[in-house]
Amino acid sequence: MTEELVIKGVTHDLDVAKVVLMGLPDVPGTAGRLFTSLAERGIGAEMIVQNNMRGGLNDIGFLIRKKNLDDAIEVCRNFSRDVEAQGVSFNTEIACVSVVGEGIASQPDVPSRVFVALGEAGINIAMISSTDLSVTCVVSSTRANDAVRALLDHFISEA
Amino acid sequence: MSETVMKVRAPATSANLGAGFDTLGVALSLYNIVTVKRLLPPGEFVSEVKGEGARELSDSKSNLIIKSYLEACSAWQITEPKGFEMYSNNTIPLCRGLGSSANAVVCGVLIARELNRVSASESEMLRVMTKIEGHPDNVAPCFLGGMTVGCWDGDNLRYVRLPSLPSDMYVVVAVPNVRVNTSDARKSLPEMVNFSDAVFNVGRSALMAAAWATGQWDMLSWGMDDRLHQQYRAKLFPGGEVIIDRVRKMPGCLGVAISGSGPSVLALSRGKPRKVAEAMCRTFSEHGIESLFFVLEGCAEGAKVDTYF
Repeated sequence: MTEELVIKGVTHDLDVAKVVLMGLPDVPGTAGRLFTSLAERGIGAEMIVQNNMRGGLNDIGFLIRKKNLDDAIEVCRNFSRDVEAQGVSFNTEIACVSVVGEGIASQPDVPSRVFVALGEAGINIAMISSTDLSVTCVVSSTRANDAVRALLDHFISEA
Repeated sequence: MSETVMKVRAPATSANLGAGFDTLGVALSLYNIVTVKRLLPPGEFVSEVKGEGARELSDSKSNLIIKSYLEACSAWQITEPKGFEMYSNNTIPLCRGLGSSANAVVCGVLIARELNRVSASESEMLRVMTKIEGHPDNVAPCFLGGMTVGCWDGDNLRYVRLPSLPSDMYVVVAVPNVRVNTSDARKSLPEMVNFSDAVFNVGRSALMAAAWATGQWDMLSWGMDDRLHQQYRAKLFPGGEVIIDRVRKMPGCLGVAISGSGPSVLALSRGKPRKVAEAMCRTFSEHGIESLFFVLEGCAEGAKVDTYF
């Protein structure tokens, strides 16, 4: 096992809000128009996820910086109305918790260990993303410190 | 080639609006979509649910849309109602005071009308819906859109539909991740109320309806005040007893109330809604409950039906 040498640290980020547009029409160009509208207001989106629903409808969820929330609410409400989406929800009581290191993608057990550590701490995961440098989970902001502690205990303390 | 027979797009609703217990309700821009995929022989039903309630609503024997369909057919003396296969894309959270059951009733009755080619007036449709639901404050705005005032004596209904909210009004709804069963919420209420509290609510609910009808939105903070039910229902979910007082005092907040029987909390706001929404969700977090929020607008149209046969 070499992953203890790979993992460099555990970080958390409370400056994020989650946006989910529900029941968007499954037609080409919908996501392009949405994220163009956001970009025109200077709103960057992270961790973009699309879920395919039945009946020609999709959900698109993503994260934004909290400073952009006012503008994002306006853009997403207008977009939702224009395309006759089913609705849009927001969540500001979240945090991103990340295990950071080099070559994580080459360590197949790192994601599972992250999820198991959070699960054993009783922490629910709302969204997941991974890169070669990190595995990030969105959790409730009220559990952010617990999540960091669980991951530190698992990956760092054992190093 | 799509097999779709018909679709119903029906809005969420928020009942009571504070003082108007079992009487007032407003349609909101959050929708469930029910698709009837194909017709089946009488008595045969297949249901599939995606999104909210997918686990508990997919059983066709307990699906409230199908139950309401059959009740409406019975009310209209249709002896062999057509069966059907349906699926529902749900966004309205269950048991959170946003009219998910009324939404199902409205969809079921509309499907009964269309599939069996029933010629029913608006008032007859709403009477059947109210009979199934038991009170008109959710089914009326879900069916008609806008804000509705409804009175029901168990058999007869009188109602007035008022316009929807102006486009610059934000409806902020904080939805905690905890359920309140409507029947439990009703059991929490006292059998007797103080006369002065009754007078208080008569005045507030009349003020609410009059203010809404005439667009005097600065009256909402009084019109949404209540002494009949919210103090009891607020005890049924963490944070309930502090959230209304906390949010009511915020700049830009015109009025705040428990949505239906809770636990969602609704605030009407002019100006940017972020601070109101964050304060509501932070309150739930302080009490150990996760939550999310919607920033909705009034839904003017009500349930919309598209048929393909």
